[in-house]
Amino acid sequence: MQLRMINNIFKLVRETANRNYKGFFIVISFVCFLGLLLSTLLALPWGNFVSASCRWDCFWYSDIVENGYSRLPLLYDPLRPAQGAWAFFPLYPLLTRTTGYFLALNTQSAGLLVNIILWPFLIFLCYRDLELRNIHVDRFLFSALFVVYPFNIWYTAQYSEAIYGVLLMAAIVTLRSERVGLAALMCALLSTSRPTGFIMTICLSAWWLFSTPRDSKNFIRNAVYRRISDSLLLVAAGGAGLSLFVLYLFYVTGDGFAFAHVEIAWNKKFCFFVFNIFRAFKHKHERAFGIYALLSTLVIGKMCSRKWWLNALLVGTTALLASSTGVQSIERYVFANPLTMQFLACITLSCSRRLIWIALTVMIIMHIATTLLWYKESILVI
Amino acid sequence: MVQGKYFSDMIRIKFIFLLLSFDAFSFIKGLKPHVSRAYRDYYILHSITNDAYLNATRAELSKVKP
Repeated sequence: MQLRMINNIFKLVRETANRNYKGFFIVISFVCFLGLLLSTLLALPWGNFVSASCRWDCFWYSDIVENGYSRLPLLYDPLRPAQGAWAFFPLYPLLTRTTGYFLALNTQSAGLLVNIILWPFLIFLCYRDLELRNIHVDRFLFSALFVVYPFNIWYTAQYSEAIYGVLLMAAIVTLRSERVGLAALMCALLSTSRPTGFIMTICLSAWWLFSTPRDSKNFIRNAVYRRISDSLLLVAAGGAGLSLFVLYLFYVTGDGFAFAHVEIAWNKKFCFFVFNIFRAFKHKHERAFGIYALLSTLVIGKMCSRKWWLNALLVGTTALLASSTGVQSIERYVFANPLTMQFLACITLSCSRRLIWIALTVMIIMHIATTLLWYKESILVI
Repeated sequence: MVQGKYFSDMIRIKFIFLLLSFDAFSFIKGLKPHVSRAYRDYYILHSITNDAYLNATRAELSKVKP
């Protein structure tokens, strides 16, 4: 009787998700709500969900929201000597400050609210991207996999992952829909959200230039010129977003590229990524990152197929850039990337029903573990 | 209709050129930082240590403050 009731609930949820986009969004929001409920319950020993989720880089984002970017780095902080907020791009703090101002919320609550609102949109965009590629998966299970995925913790914390992911997927979806003007706007905003934003714009521009147009039978000279001008528009728009931040930093600090130069204060120097991976295994407290880096290589390798080559290009480029300055946080750059989550969700959903439910169960357990590690401020999920 | 398409293409090209000029301007600005010697040595040239930079900057600030 109870089993039949559970089956009926699942059937209702599936029908709602498959009815139309509105129904799908309602189901995504409901599943996200259940995920948030779990995170809130797990956060109880740490006071409340808002303060428990503010870890690691949340300090910097909060500082930017409350004090803006300063002319000098931290000179008297023994935990963060010579480090500066310039490494953190302005879009997420700006959204947080605006939200906090209009809704009269404190910094941490506003920052969390921004990500809670963006998270369902990200899941929807990841699904929409698959649809545009004629890849059809179960909508409800796709949402569920995203919500229980162990490395999605940064999307419900005060980090810039959500805004970056939404803009990246929005740029891809608008390009696939051949709305290049809108894609250029997404690229401009993407470049103000994270340091890798502009690099992603360049990759998208190259992908757009070399990808086959829909009506490839009419591939005439004008279409080629159009593609070239589209790609230039994307790069120029992405560059303009980054340029605004460069000029602002030049005005505040005297150094337009302070966001890159300040990385030395975190002991990050450019080096061949393989050396950084080897170095990680030599130090006990960095071995986990070495393992993450190897697993990342495996996943990116699996992505290298005709069907997933854009995912491989973008995630691979991100991993290469990140690991060239050290492997700390590589798990966030690769496994929390929406394109990786999309890929892994599709691989899981292509298995048998039994395996899918086993995967979901294992992921829920791992999700609980990573959430608790996050609240404990463990270096394993930095 | 062809003339209209020509004008919209021209506007598009001019807009791209404007954006690229802006990008080039900010890139050139970024290549010439106006910073202290200690800042340049630590953050850009990596020729001094973290402690040396902090000491030099604190000393500079104490000279400026009354």
